[in-house]
Amino acid sequence: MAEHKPAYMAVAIGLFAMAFVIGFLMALASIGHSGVLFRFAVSWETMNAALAIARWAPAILLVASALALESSEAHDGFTGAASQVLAPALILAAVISIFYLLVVPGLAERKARYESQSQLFVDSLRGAEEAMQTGTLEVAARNLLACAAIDRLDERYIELNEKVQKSLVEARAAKADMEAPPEPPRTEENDWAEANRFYLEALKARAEGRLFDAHYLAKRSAALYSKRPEVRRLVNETWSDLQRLGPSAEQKGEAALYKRKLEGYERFQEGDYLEAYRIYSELAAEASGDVDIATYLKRSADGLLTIAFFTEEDARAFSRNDGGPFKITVTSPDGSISTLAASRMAIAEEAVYFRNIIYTRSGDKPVRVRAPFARLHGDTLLLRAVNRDHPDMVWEPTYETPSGSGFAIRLPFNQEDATRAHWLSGAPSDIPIALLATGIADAGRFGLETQPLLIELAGRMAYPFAALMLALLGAGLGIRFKPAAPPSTQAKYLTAPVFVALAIAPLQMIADVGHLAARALATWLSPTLFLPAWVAFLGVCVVISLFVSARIAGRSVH
Amino acid sequence: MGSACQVPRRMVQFCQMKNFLAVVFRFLIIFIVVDLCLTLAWTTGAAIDHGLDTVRLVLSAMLVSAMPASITAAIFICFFLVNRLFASRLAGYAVLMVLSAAAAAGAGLLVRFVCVDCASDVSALPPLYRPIAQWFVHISAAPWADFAIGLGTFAAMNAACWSLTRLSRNRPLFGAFVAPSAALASLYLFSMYLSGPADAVFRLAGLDLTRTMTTALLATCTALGMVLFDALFAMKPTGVPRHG
Repeated sequence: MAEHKPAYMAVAIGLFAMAFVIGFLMALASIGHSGVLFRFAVSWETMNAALAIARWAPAILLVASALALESSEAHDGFTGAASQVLAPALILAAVISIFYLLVVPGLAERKARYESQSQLFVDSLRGAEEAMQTGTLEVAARNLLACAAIDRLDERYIELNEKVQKSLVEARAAKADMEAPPEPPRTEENDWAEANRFYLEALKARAEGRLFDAHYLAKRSAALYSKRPEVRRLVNETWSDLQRLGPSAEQKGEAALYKRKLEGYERFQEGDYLEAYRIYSELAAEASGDVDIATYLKRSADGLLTIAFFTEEDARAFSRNDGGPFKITVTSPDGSISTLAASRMAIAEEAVYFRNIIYTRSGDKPVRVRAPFARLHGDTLLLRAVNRDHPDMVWEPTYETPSGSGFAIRLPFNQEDATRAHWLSGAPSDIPIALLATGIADAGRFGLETQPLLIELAGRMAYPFAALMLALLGAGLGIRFKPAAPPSTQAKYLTAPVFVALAIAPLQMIADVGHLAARALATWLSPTLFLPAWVAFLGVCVVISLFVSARIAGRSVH
Repeated sequence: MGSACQVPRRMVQFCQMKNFLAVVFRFLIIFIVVDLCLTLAWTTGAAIDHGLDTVRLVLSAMLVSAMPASITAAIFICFFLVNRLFASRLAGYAVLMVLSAAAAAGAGLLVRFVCVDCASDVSALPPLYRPIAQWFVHISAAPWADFAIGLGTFAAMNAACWSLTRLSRNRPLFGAFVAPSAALASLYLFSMYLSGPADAVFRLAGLDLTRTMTTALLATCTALGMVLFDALFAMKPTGVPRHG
């Protein structure tokens, strides 16, 4: 009889490929109910397929090992038979561990991001529709801006945006019409009389030397009744007088501009960067080519950033990521406890942005302050936000204790700490392994629970051990339940998904027991003792699984 | 009746007894190991949630609560041994039924006479298993008729799953993968039979029965269904030692 060598690696790779395809098809079938945007569809399905591999990997390893040994011709002891799958099992254990440790958290995080962004898009779109129905067009436009940051090409967005923009234009036009005074019914006779009144007033103004008024009134007279040559002549003459007697309008404009520039410069010198920025913003709209205005607009903006920040930075950060609620508690060396809580936070390269914060500090001079917007750069928390396009719109902090004041607070933790606290306070399964391994002490420092992190770390450390145990157990089953004639390759691959499906529930139960053991060790041991104890536990489990597998196989361990 | 024991005719009876005792011995060992393992796991869970002081209080409750699951696990593992030792379905079912019923009755009597208040707190158990633990304590203290019917049908339902380990002669591995899932499914199904919706089905049909009786009826139907499945689809037990 020909020797049927176990092809553990081939079977395992084949099963992983099948798992990917099945996972993709399942995601494809469920995308209609998932609410994921069409733009993210393929990526989301791919992430789901990859995560399906991660979910089913333990069962696949068990089944691959069983199938490989099921058709082997090994007649020596269990160790000899199992050793045929051990070498590839160790390689797969390493690959699977790397996959779990480095790839899976990223995949899960990306999948969650696609889902949360899709949800945000749908919520914003719904909000825009409701606002449109209630006539609050500004709210609708703001919601649509959030949609545009996620997917500008979505048909629902395009359709609603067109409606909202059209309604906004109509509303503005209607508003302008309403603000204009109602004009009386006009007749030529009335116009002549009114124009004549203006003409007479213009003549009087000219006689009194009020040339501007004279020109203005003459122009109004001509506008009402243009058939009188003497009125047109008066318009021309008063304009000539204006140009002859005083500086030109251009000169006057330049003088006014210079005066405003000087005012802005004075504000800048006084350190009132916000007012300086407001003045230079207005001037920049009038004279965009002026070098001085451009220079001091930038300098005042830079100065402003030391006492405030622009809401556009906040909006940009939140359009890229929304970290959700945030809380950090740090005890300073002097014993005072500082707590920063925010309803939402977003991490950007240059800073961390918060919304609706409450900052409290205990101690001799307790501080409690609320602010709608905040920005943490280094260890400085800025509490004042300014709208760059409309500098009159400013959001400032509200101090609830007498001891606090100012727009910036020096915190006992920095931007990097806040970022780490955010990651460490999220779902433990989403935490990158490097941060998880090094961040448990930090989590304690930031007032976060360390036990879930220890349990997650234990779970990830168990991957290589679990892969080994499953390979051994599968080998035991394969040897024990060997058929009289080895099954064909087609039969193997056709039945493998059934085996995998059948193995999932019992393995989940075993995983729950492992999780319970990790919880017990994390609860009753100190963090320093936890890891050695956990590794020892896993080692014992591997030894037990070796003997159990040998027992199942019905052969002795040589 | 065929047997793995190759002995002269006059020794057949001795051989049958030997096979039966082998199954009993295997069953008892597995029952004790599984019961201890489950007790350890559930007690640990309770101790984590409520502190180490609670261990003494919940230990006996967990030991008692784990018994139905231990009987199920032990009987499912014994299926494979019975496959090897008995070539007759009738003999196999008889052995499994006697074993399962004896274990259930023994555990029930233990609770009835020794530890009737043991399993009052089931909060540390997995939610899906809690109804079974509560049922077990309740049925152990019930009138003798209910005691016999309840535990007997539970044992029958477990024993009737034997056919699931003989689905394919060409791929005995099927049985190895089906058995653990089937054991879990059997417990899950039994907990469903103990639920309100199961009672409602009977009320809908105009039958006003106690929960003990509805559960027993559903378990009996399941057992009969599994035996029918065995007759129609499953392979006969080989009654010979394994390959290799």
